[in-house]
Parts: sequence; C-alpha cells; structure tokens
Amino acid sequence: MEAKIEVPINQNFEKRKGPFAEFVTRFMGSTSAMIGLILLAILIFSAVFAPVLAPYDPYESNLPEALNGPSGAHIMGTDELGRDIFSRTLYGARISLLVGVEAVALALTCGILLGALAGFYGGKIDTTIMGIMDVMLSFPSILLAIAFMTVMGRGVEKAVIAIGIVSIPEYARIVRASVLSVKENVYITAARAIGNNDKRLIFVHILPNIMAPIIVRATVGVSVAILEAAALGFLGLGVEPPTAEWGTMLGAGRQTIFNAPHIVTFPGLAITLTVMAFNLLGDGLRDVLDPRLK
Amino acid sequence: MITYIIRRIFLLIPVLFGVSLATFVVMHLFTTDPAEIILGQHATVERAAALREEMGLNKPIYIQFGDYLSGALQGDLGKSVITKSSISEELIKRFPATVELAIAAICIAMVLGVTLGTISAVKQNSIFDYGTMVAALMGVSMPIFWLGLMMIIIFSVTLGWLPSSGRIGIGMQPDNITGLYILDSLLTGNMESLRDAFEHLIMPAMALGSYSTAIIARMTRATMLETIRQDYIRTARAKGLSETVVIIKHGLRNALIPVVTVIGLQVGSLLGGAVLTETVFSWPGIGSYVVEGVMASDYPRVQGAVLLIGTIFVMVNLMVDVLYSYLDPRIKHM
Repeated sequence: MEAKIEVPINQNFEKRKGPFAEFVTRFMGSTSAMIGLILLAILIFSAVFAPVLAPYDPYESNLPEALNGPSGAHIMGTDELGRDIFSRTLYGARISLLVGVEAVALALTCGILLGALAGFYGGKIDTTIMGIMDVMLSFPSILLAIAFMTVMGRGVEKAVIAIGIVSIPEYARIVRASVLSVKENVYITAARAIGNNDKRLIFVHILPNIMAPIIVRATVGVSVAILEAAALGFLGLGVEPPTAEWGTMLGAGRQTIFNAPHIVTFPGLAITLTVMAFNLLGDGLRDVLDPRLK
Repeated sequence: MITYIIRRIFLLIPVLFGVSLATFVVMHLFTTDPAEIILGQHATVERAAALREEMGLNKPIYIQFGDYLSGALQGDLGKSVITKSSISEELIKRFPATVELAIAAICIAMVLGVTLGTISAVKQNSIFDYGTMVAALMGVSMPIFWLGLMMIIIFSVTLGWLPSSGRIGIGMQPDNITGLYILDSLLTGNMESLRDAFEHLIMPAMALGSYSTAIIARMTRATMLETIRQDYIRTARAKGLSETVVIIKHGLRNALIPVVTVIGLQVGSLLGGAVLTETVFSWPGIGSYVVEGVMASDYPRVQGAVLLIGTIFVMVNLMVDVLYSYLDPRIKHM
C-alpha cells in the first residue's frame, strides 16, 4: 500500500537553482572543460560533415601524385597511393570517435553491472567477479587488446569489443568501491525498509548517487580507448584497409617515413587533439562534479 | 612486515594461475589451425592430422592446459610454430633489451617528472608552470608511437643525429655480462660501445617515458602545492632555512609519498608501452617479439610472451605495494 503525503509548497521560498543549472554554471566556469568541449565540437563537426568538408574522395587513389608534400591542392599532402591526407584525416575522425565512445559504452555497461553486483552482494559473487577482474588487470591493457584482436581478426566492431572488454575491470572496480561506500547509508536502509527489491535498490537508489566519479572516469576513458584503437591500427590490427583510420594511416606511413614524413604528421596530430579534448573535458568534469577527486 | 610479504606472495599463486589460464584460453580461441599455419593450406589431411597429434592438439583441452602449465613452471614455453626455436630461450635473449629500455624510460620519467612538477608548484601560475602543464597535457594525449615517429623524423631523418632503429651498431656490442648494453659497456670500460648504445637508447626511452613523465609531473605538482602550504613549511622558513632546503628537504620528501605509487603504476604501464615503442624503433625486446608473433600468426609465441609480461606485471605491482607500505608506515598491512 502506498501512502501519499501532500506537502504544502511555500511560495515565498527563494527559488534555488536546480542541480542541472548549477552544473552548467560551474561547467562554463571551468576553462579546461570549455576548451575540451570546443575542441570536441569541432571534431564532431568534422566527422559528421566529412563528406561536405573533404575536398577529395578519401578512397580515390591517384598514383602519379603519390607521396606529394603539403601543397595548395592537397593541404596535408598525399599518401603512398596518392590519396588526399586531409580528406582521409577528416573521415578518420568518424572511426576514432565511434570506436572510443562505443568501447567505453560497452565497458561501462559491463563494468557497472559487474561492479554493482560485486559491491552489493559481496561474498562469493564479489570474490569471483573481482578475481576475474584482477586477472585481467594483470596484463597491460594494450597487450590484452592485441591478444583479443589476434584471436578475432581485424575490423571496427572487433576493435570496439577488444578495447571494451579490456577496460571493464577499471569501471567494475570504481563502481564496486562506490557501491560499498553508499550501500550502508540510512537512505538505502530506508529504501529497503519500504519494500524495494534489490534491482530497484541498485538501479534507482544506489547507482544515481555514485555516477559522478564514473562519468569523470568514462570521459577520460574515451581518450584511452581512442589511443588504444590507434595503437591497434598502427600495429596493423585495427580496421580493414582501405578504411581511413588514423592509427592505420600512421602504420602505413611508417614505411615511407624517410622520404615523406608528412604522411605520419597529420593523422598523429589529429589523434593528439582528440585525446586532448577528452582529457580536458574529463579534468573539467572532475573539478565540477567531484571536487574531492582533485 | 615479513608476514605481510609472505601473505602477499601466497596470494600471487591464484592470480598467476588465472593469468596463465587466461592467456591459454584466449590463445586457444585462435581460429586458425596451427597445423595449417605450419604446413600451409594445401597440406594433405594426413600430414595435418599427424602434426596435430605431434603437437598434442588432439588431447582434451584441460590436458593441454595441464601440459602447458607444467612446462611453463619448468621454464619451457614451447616452440615457435614458424621458426621452431624455443620460445623460452628467445624470451631470455630478448629480456635484457626490454629491461634496459624500461629502466631508462622510468629514470627519465622520474627525474624529469619530479623536477618539472616541483618547479611548477614552487612557481605556481608562472609561465614555466603553464608551459609545463601544457607539455604534460600533450604528454598524456600523444600516442607514444607517434611521438616516436616524430622523433625519428626530427633527429634521424632531418638532423641525422641519432640512429632510427636497433639497439646497437654492428660490431659495437660489448662483452656480455648482464645483457644490458649500457651497464656492460661501463663494466668493461668500452666507451665506444657506451656511446653507441646510449645514442640508440635515448629516443626510444624518451618516447616510452613521455606519458609517465607527464603523469609524474602532474602528480608532483599537485602534492607539492598541498605540501608547501602546510604549517611546518612555514615554520621551516621562519627558522631561517634557505628556500632550497625548505623545498627539497621539508617539502619534496613529504610530497613524494603519493608520487611513489604513481611511479610504481607507471612501471607496469611501461610494459604495455614497450610493445609499441619497440615496434617503432625496431628494438629487439619482448614487445616486438609479441608483435612479430601476431603478424606471423605464431600463437605459442604470443602466448609465451604475453604470459611472461603478465607475470612481470604482477610481480612489479607486488614490489610496489611492499615498497609503499615500507615508505609510509601509516598504510596498514593486514
């Protein structure tokens, strides 16, 4: 049976800012968050409008113009097949952003579920889940991702899965620790006392209260995922050629580094800027959402 | 303290078992039949079957794992399916190269990171501080393999100052004592080798250490800023001690405790970075061995190297934990 209590609203009460409005104000005040956001906006814009912005077809090879340095016609020069590097770099933003965000989404979903189960139930469930996580953390994550890609073969979705899986333990650990720190609070006991089941306790009462550190970690996590995706591409384990992907472009350009260094310069710069955008955004969000983490 | 260390070593056993199981399981999901890699696609069915039998691939998977584990415990990680050479021997041969690179990288990261971080904190909001923090942001955002390539373009291709690949020039190898070329050249007094080894080492070590340098500089700056606002620093200044003594003896010593953990964590992450750095600079270590194995679909090779790196990673983390609880007695070791 549910009881409803009507609380008279005091009209004279000074209107306070909602939590979201307060968040926006503080976010706008953070220089690093704003720079990160602007950089990210530019990157997303380039990715979305790549077909409009790109002066050439990123896949059209033009062998007579291969390995030309930056010029008026090709501002970033051409690669070993005469393809326009600027156009390929623009299209590359699509893959990198996609892989970064999707891999983190995958890791976050699994990590939240596993971490919440481990933290909430404790005991054997906790020992088993965290045992597996500890084993995964026993490898440098890029090495584990390489191992998965070796097994699964190349491809964008496979890179998402490999990078996603190797990032799960990080999120599971943070979520578990946060769940442990809030689950003994009085409001959780109260929520349990009024008859909420475990699922509702975890998803409605616990998780919303521990999101701040998770959001911060996930934002920085996207930058790590983008770096790992680029590393896989560089090692020849990323997307299938001729897809324009920054890491793969760097890997291919390595062969011609002595006579055409411009090939590796621009895709690398693009990776650096993208990773920097997420790092700045993450730093800013940390200051805004969770000052204790500073 | 000793019981704590012994307890931690015992706790390693299940983790290391898990590490070897994980490596084995992942590698056995490998889609290509090793027999097919060796014999090629046109081998007769009989030959492939005979080879599978010889390699023990027909046994149940748990027996295969048991065989692998008992081999690994005796230091035998099997044979490469391509070159037929012993994987353990190859790993032992390449191990010093990776160790030398990692030690050089962590030294650079520690010295540069702590120095830059401390000066930034002391001169907070100065141009130096902003410059260092921007450089640190670059350091954590740049892919190390790209930094490596850019270094090659600048210092090898354009300026011609440093060699772009390898560990040492032909015929320059010092007498083998430890396998670490810098140390061996020093021990044998071979200055020519020392110079050559150093010229080969500096770029890969800088590239590999860049990320850690940035992390350590940020961390040192943050803890140092907190420390120099403490009362005991004010007291030290009031006593009339020189600024250098105050900063280094009173400030840095206390600020460094959290930095030590970060340094420890970085040692582990260097192993992952080594895979990429060694590939860029054709450094003949364990990292490039993994990548070559991946390229050749040589799964026992990848499996052996991944198992070794995982084991080192776990050991290093244990050492860091022990060192940390020694440095900071406030940390309880239950």
